[in-house]
Amino acid sequence: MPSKTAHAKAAEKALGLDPIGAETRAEADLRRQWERYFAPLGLALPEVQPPDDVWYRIQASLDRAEDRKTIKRMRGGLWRWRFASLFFAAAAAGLAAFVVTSTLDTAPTEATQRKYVAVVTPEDATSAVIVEVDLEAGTASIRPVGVTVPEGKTLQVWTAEPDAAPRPVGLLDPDAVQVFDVMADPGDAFAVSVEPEGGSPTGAPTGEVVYHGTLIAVPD
Amino acid sequence: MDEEYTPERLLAAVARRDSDAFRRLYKLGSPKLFAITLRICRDRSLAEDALQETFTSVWRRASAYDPRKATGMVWMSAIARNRSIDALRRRQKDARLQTGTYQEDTTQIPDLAGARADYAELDALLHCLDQLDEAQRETVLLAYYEGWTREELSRRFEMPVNTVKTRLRRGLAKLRTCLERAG
Repeated sequence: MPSKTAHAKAAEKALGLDPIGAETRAEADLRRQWERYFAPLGLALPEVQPPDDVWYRIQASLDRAEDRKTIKRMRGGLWRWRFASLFFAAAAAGLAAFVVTSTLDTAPTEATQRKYVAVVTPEDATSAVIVEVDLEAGTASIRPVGVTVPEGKTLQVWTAEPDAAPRPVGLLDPDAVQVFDVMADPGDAFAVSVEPEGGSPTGAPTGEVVYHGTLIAVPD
Repeated sequence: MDEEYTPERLLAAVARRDSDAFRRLYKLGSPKLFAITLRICRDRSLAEDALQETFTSVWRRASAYDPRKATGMVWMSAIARNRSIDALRRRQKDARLQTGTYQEDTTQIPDLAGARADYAELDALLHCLDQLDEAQRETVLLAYYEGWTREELSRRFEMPVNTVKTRLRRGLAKLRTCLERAG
């Protein structure tokens, strides 16, 4: 039987008050239950026909993904987004290595899905955050290595398209691998900032950025 | 609805990368989902962006859809809400950067009484929302329909964020008791 608090948290995520972030299967089921409870509020609204333009834009954006697949095939064999990295630690705390893993043309169930991760740090670095992005699923798996959270603070993960404002990804648990819903493409930045407990009060980073890096895709 | 083209069946076909099924799914679902993105974004161009992102997510994630856990429309409507809230937060952040303040919009909760007959679940939900006190109900609806944050709610009701949170949680507990009894 889920606790009262578990229900409250699930309901708050279903309302959009909190980002979905990392969750266990039980937490996800509970959130979906609340999404079902609230769904009639949206589905009962009078229908509105969207302009044709939207459908063409959807097709164009999926075609671009298709083009990337074709380029991969043309290059033959096991072309894949393989590694990426970057390091610019904004603080002595360390640096992050970021990795793109592609599953663009493979279903998640196929055994062909493979991931490559490299953590490359300067010799004096004591910590890193590894970000693996699954472009197809729209998820980022975030794995902190040797990360400590300052007393009374929270570490918050952000992502940003080039020249765009950062979007919150979720709060970093220093002791766990977390999977977040993230739409990110190669070229996008990831960063981790120090925030008050519970996360940034403004929806934008307010504290020092301690890890920062850009997704880079490198073909074989 | 045409038996063959239920959202659930179309989603299963989309998971197999059937682009014809995707087109049908768009035709079937987009008017409802556009109503949702429009309601939350309250801006046509932002709502169109959110609808576009909703369907690209649907295409990408169809293989994760589990018909045992939600109907196809419920699943897609949750994606539409999330994409709308993302779009709204992005724009609010831009607006704050430009003006240094939050945009305070006056808001209206839509009157859904006319739709009651079409949706048994809506009827139960509206009945249970009626059991909440007015401030609790308004808090839930502003979060759902307008994508308001706790901070925005706290300014609107002129009370600390924690008080908003406590009041909302009390309301949600009451709502849950009522819905479980109804369901």
